[in-house]
Amino acid sequence: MSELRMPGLSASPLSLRRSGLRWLRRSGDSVAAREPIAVCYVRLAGSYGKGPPPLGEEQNDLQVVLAPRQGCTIRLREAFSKGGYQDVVEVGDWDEGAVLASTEGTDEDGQAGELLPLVLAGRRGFENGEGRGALLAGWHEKVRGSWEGDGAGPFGTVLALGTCEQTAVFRGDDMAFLSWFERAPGPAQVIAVSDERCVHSSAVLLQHLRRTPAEAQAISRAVHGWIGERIMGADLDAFPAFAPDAAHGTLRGRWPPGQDLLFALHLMAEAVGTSPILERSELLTRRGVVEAGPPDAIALTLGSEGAPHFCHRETGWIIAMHGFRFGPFIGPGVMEWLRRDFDRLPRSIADIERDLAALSDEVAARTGATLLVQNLISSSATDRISNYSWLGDGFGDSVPVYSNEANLMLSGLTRNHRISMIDSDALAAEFGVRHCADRFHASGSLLEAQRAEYHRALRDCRVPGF
Amino acid sequence: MSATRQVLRIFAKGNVDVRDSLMWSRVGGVLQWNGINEVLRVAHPGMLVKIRHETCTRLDLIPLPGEKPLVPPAEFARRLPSGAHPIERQMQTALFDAPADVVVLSLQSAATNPLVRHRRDGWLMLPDDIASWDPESRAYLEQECEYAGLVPVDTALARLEKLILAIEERLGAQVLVYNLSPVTPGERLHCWLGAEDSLDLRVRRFNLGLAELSSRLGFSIVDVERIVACAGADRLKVDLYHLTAEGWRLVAEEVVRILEERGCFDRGTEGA
Repeated sequence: MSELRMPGLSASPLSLRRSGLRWLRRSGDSVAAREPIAVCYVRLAGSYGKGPPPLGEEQNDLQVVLAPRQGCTIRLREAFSKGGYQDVVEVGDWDEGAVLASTEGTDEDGQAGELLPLVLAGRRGFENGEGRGALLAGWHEKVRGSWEGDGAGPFGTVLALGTCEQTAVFRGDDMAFLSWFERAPGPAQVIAVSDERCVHSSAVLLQHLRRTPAEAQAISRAVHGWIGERIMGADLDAFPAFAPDAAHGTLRGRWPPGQDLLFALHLMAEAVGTSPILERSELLTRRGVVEAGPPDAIALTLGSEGAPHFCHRETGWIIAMHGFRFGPFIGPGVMEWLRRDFDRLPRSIADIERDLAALSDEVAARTGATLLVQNLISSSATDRISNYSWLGDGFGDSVPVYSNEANLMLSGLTRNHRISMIDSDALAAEFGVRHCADRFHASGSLLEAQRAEYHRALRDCRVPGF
Repeated sequence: MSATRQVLRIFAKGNVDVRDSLMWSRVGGVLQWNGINEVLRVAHPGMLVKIRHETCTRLDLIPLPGEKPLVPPAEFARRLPSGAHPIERQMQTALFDAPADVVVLSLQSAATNPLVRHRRDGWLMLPDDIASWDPESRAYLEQECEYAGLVPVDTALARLEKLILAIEERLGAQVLVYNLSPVTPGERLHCWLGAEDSLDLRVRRFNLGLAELSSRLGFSIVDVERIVACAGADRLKVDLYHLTAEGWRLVAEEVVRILEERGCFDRGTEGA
């Protein structure tokens, strides 16, 4: 039998406080190496005199997941979990060395000992929007997982900026990067930035990187102007919750225009904030909080390039949104705004090629990062075309043609730019496209194969920690 | 007493993909798949397909009516092994010699078959299965010929366009062309530096070019790429060229579906 102890983590000169542990496995369970057994919330406490405190934007959703270094059968010390809200809010100091579980059987190589910590951090889309509970619960504009593992070198960081297909690859079924924690030795960090507000196409990212303060100011003025119009122009009909027929009960709970305004504010906040490509990271480690540079690798997807793009007439601001978000997620007010103040920006494959090449060069010059771009799945069970003449003018827009042209373009870019292609198309064909019937949402086994391919590319690109 | 069955005449010009899907597939002498008529027996019991099959040295070298390509002399052909592509017949075809309702072609030969060119006379030849040749034959080939490589994608497709137009004009036949699955299970590339001429990319370019040609000419593509992708290359593919029996059956079913779509079973050609 051997003891599993709390690992060392330090926020010096601040103190590190933690909640009670929430067990992820039960006593008597057999767990694999790096399979999480417990999680707690942590907070940096104390006085920090110089500027904003470290991890300040993630203080409200900072968690530490604990896992044994090797497979074992565990016996938990149940008292470490208080249950209820005590496992969500801070109840004491970080207690390095405390024995919170033991393992059955012998620890032949003496490796059991200290548990491995995975630090999860979520930057909320709306800071006051509480959603604590499970691993990385709540809505975050940016989430990350970092672990030192057994490594001693610098942290390697991969940033996922793609659409849902990459959320699944990087965050995984658990939404907490556990599949990367399990496979990458560390020190490593995986960051995922959501695309619910604006899709991260090459055009959007490139413009964000090159944005000037004056352009950011013009965007914020344009958004504020539109929001002002919406609020000031609201007539009595805009408040149905207080209409006479609602006096004794109504289903109209939410103020509908509020969603339009919030969406516009979020869109603006992303455009005038730091590009995630340039953002440095603060990492909680046993040595204290250390700073890591911008990401070493940036994962994108060609799926982002096909999203509808719009260009603000007055400011030139480019945004991209998935078509399926119109209606159920993005209200009529925003659609009206897009029609009135934006132009639709059609993008050919040549445009995408130009923007991806320019983005790669810009990123390489600024941070040295590599782009890992996932290609499109070109085959589907539903798009059965044997005679292309029947498509007429729609030939170029047909799924097989567009996807294959885009994929060929991307493979060409890998020869002259710091771009690696993740051949999702070949993987889907190998497994069978029933594993990804709609070409974007893959089965668990196909996702695991894609993840393995990303991992291989990260190692080939010599990103540390992977 | 046998019922009268309508016959559809198919001229199949291609290699393993065309033959194994439409006619038969044997592995180690054991029959794996018995061809398109297996599908018809269930789907169209009153129909029978009669297939004339010719191997294809390379799609772009099929002579059009009136063309007399340079051919290797008989003496040369006699001195070398010829495998599935007899040297003296590599530049010949019976395609235009007899009526056919349907002509089936394939991109395979254009995508994958490198040729040699005679140093003095300039004729082209496919040294089929050269790995099995004896050293003497190889030395003779090296002495007489130089490597001519693969045909450029655009050149092959331009030639295919002429061939399809000639088939439609001369035979009035429906044309079906097989594309290829570019996927080789287990092979992974994420950077194509130095791999500009990889077979994977070449096949993708061919498939895309074929779709463009179909959009202009209106012939049908037997989308082997899609068939393999839908079921999974891991399950259907043996290697770049060979599918499993299930794979050939799925391809044959797709051919039947296209023939149905084209109305080929609405008009039998002759009784049998």
